Amino acid sequence: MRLALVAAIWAILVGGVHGYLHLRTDARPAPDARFERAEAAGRYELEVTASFSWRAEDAAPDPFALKAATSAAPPLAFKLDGQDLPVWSQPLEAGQPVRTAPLPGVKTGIVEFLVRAAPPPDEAQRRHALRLRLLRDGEALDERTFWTEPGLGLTATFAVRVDPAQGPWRAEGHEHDGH
Amino acid sequence: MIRMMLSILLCVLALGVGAEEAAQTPRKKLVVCSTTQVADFARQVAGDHLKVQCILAPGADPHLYEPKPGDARMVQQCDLVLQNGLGLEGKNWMATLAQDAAKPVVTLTDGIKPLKLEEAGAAHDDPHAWFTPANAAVYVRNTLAALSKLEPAHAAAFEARAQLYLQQLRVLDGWIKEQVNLVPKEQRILVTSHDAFNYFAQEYGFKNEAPAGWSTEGEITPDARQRVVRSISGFNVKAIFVETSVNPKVIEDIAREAGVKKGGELYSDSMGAAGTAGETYIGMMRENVLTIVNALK
Repeated sequence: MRLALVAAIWAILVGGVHGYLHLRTDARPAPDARFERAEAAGRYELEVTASFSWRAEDAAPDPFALKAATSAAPPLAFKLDGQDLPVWSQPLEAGQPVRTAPLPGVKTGIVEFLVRAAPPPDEAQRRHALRLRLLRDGEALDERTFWTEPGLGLTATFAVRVDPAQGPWRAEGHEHDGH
Repeated sequence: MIRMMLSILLCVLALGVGAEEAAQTPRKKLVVCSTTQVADFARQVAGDHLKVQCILAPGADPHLYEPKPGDARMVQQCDLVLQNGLGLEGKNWMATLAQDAAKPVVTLTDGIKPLKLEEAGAAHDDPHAWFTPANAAVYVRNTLAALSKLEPAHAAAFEARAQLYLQQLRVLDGWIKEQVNLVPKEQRILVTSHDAFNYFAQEYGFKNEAPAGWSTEGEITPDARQRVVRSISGFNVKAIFVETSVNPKVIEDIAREAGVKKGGELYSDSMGAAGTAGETYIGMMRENVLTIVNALK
């Protein structure tokens, strides 16, 4: 009888440990509604001003690209909250601001852009500046300027708070005030 | 009797749980590489997801290497073979080992346009393609493709590591250009034991001379030796260099005869031993460039 009890306790212990090791991943908590982010209203664009020029037809393939490149490597690449934005193809004139197409998937809260800039090799040996502005319905929400080191590209993040309190209802409220 | 049977049953149960745990930890696949450079690229991309072993020891010469029985056993146990190709592995020893063991072999120089070398009236592909970071990027991309095919479950991690390593190669390339720029153009003459530095010389604007040809296998003829001595005198060369994987005697004799100093030792066909500055590809290139620039500027 005593032996059977020991065996039962053993089985429970071993079974418990086994169950804990193998089933605990299935016991993850449900997503917390507090961390869910709403789609931000309005039209969002990035305005880019670079201190270097770039034209697709003059650029050479990047020998250090992850995929073997046969065409010109774009000088700029952006991610928004980890998602790739469309490949940059617009020409750049030094000092001239250029706007992206409207950005998809901007959510309320802090949005973070990852920016990679690679000045053309013939211009890469000096420091370059890159100014970014996040625009909502044409109005600047925030801006930041980044600098490269000579000979190197730039990888940086640009975080902006998109506040629902300053969302389109403020504009509606403004219109309402105006009436 | 009952007690004994219960004890055995419990032991079997406990062992069963342990065995199940072990079965759920899959064996790491083994990648065998021919040279130290190839193994370093594989380790940079594989991380801890694969086991990477190298046949050549640091300092060993791939042109002259004779495979040992232990190499055949290692290849027999592996899942993939990586080699440099372009004839670096003398008498094709790595591909032969892979073929004998019926293992897949990937050549990391695929996609690189090889430099052509003339020797004894015959043209050869120069196999020392890793000597520019831009070519090393091709090795890394080929490694990434091969490892992702071997272990698709870890492809995303391989890609992330490869991307980081390619950025490091980009920085290395820019840094080499800056360092080489410290040496006046007319003093950029690289005299080494054998013809291993053609890609480096072409990329960074050096003229190079070597008494031995593209492989360390051949004898150094008196003509070749005299040609190098004449070049040293004619171009007013400041220093000449020995290689870590080649017998330094010839270069030391030439230095004495031509009245120039030895600039130091360069890593060429093999990287340095563990614990040395040249134990990785980036470390090897960095040390080579510092040795060359400090001796010639």
